[in-house]
Amino acid sequence: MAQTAGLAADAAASRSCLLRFARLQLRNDTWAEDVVSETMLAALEKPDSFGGKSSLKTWLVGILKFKVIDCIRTHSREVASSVNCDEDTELEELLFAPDGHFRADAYEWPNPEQSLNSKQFLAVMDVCIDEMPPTIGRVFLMREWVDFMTNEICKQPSVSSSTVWVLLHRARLRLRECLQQKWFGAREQGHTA
Amino acid sequence: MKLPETCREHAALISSGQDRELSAAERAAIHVHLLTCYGCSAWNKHMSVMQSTMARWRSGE
Repeated sequence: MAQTAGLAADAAASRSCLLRFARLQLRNDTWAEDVVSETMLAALEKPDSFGGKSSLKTWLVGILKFKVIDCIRTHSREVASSVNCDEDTELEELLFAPDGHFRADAYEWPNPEQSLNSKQFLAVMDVCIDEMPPTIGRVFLMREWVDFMTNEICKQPSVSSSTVWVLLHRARLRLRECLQQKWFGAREQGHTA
Repeated sequence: MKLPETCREHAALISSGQDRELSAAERAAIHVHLLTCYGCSAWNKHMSVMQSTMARWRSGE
């Protein structure tokens, strides 16, 4: 019993992190609260399946992914109707000239390894994902976080593989611009100032 | 499949390489393009930084 109580306390400490993931993926606060509660319940009902091989948070995130997938499947009709494949079509026009060249000069990202170890950098990543338009953000996280392959994403809304590739590409273009603006570019200015 | 010609098309194909297996012809086209294109080389590098970042971000640590 004491062990379960300890697990419950540790799991509660991870709650905000789980909620953050669920919100970004589902873009619906009620669903996010539900999947996180279900994850907590599932974890507390089967404390023995936590073998201690990974950190508690990693284990919980693993359970959360399944709950998120279930949630997307349950609400597939609502999710599908909110899919907008024409989202962000102007993005590429902004970044590329009519002849297909990048409009802006390429920028350098110095010492990316250093950034990777920074909590602030990961927080900027959160903001950038949160700022993505809903369809693109959701498809991007299905791919990157839930590890869905394209064909699994396509099962959701009535979307073809090539559309998913286009949406993922837009997500990455957006992410790069956002990271440049909010992190790498900002740091460069700080150095020269 | 039509091979890429512009930077815009190459950038999209480099991105798709994370989501599907590219054909030999597609990989060769990218390889040759990257030799001379600074913009797409930067995009290619940034993609791998973003990939590593996502791996770190995913772990939630």
